[in-house]
Amino acid sequence: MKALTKISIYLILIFVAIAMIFPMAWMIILSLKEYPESLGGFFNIIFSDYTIKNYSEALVSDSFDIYFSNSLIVAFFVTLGNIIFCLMAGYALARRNTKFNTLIWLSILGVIIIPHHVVMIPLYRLIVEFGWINTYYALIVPWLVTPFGIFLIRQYIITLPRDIEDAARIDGAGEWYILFRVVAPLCKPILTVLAIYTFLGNWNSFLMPFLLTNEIDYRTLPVGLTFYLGKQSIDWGHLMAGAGMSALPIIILFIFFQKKIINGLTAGALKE
Amino acid sequence: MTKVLIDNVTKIYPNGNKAVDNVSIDIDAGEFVVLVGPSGCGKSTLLRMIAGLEDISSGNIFFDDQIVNDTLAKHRDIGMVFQNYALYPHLNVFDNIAFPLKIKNESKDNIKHRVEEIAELVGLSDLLRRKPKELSGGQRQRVALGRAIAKQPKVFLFDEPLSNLDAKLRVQMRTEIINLQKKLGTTSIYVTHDQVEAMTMGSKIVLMNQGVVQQIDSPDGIYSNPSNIFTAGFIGSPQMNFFEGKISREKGFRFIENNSNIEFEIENSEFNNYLAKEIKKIKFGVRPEMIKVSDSIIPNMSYFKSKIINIEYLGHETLIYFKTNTVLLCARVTGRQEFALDKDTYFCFDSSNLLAFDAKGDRIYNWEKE
Repeated sequence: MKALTKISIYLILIFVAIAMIFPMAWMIILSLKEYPESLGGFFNIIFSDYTIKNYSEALVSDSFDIYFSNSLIVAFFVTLGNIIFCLMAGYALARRNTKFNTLIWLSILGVIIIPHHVVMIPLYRLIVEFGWINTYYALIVPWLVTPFGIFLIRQYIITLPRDIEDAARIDGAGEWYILFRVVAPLCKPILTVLAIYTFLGNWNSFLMPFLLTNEIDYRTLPVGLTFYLGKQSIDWGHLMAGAGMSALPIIILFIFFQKKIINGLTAGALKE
Repeated sequence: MTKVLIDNVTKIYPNGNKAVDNVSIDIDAGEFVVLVGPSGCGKSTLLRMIAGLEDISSGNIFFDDQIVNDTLAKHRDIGMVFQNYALYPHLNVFDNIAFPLKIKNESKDNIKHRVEEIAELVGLSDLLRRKPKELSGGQRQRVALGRAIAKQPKVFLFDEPLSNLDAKLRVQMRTEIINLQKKLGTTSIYVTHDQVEAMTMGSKIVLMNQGVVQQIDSPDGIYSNPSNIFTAGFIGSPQMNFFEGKISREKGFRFIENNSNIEFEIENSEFNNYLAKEIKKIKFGVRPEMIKVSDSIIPNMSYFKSKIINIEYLGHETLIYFKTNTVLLCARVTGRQEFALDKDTYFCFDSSNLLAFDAKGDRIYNWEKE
């Protein structure tokens, strides 16, 4: 009975693993084929010749480098902004006792609850008013601070002992010094989580960058990749090569920080 | 060296809770004062007000002749040691001690010299590169001490610094803190709930309860001359025995405990003068070591008869527990002595060692003047 349970657990896990890995593997296989759409059939595709032509073509032509660097710039500044501003707001909400704290806190929670698509049109109008269409401002400024980030950091700071901040105060430190030299290092685990989520979210973000840019110079990778989706046909080879290259930084990020991601998610769950 | 004066200081929280109630304490320059009391008595709140971490609702705090009520903690020039060490976990020992010096913008050479000097003083020279998590409890508290000393503050504040240490280490650190304070001569205010720390460390003890100062005195004064029943009961372990009852004037002066068969004769002439006037509701207290346990009556001593219900041998002393109808009492004798349980035994004491308290719990001092 026990062996049977074990076998069935393994079978389920293997199935789930295949379901997770297959799309990724299929993307890589397709990206290594010339005109895969013309090959027809699963086995024909697998056993036909492999080539890196799609990659080299995507890199050389097609403005891939522009999309890539745009994605990198936008994701970097949005991540940096979130780390700084969410930390400031989270700290203030966790430690400053003003009579407006509850009101501010509730409104931040409210913003988390409001679906993204509800603010899409007002935000678009606002960006148009500012004259920011086709600028980095449009891609960066609205996401510099997120309510979820504030929520995450505020909840984390509440669990930190206040005595450390008091000790710094007595040692002569001012509030800014305490925030960035004492509290920020203590928040490293949660800031790492926030950074990874923000970076990931931005890297993969499609809809808003798609709405807010219509020039190649300001397109990010997900938007750029859609140009392989023609009206009549889809250029699978190049699309998959582009998708593969755009997934690479995220995969690398995950490999290096997976321990931190898992630690961050369970932070505070156990007494240390 | 700085003199600290706490003048009618009160702390009322927004929810109306009065944590500190009209406290006044005069602390001389270089003095080591211990604030002691049970949990929630307001001692830590008072310390945090002195530190500038908590607002003062009314009253004044002076450092020398200067009011510091509105001075920020960072400008008060104090060093503080916390119960949970409150070290900076991301910095190593060197940087923890150097932290206040870096904020003061001292030169690198100066900082290095000073940190090494302090590390030597608190015995951390070999551990300067370690992070707090790699240190034992005692070592962490030494780092906290070193950090407090680093900027040569006017006043040291200690908030139950030894509570997280094991018993043996606590004794050792106690001595180290006292020696350090003597060497540096800095005015120190030390908060603890541990009466042993209070008695052994302070040159002056401030005993607090429910936000109110009960007594300010030397360790000896607070032990042998408590001003009220709270102080008498709080200081001393096992605690002072209390009897509550009335005075009967039949057959001389006799104390009769409420609802109990315990009674004894009072032969203290001062008592007798006082008691001659009227018979009051009264509480008597006597320290366990003042009671002699005997199979027979000891001449010229007050006594009462009861049965021993438990004996605790502690090696250097023996604690003997006996009961009246209402309370459990304790006698303390030196060394190991054999007694029989459940046998009638005489508990004898000199009635001049009795302390008397009125119905409110205040000490009745001058009998003849009442």
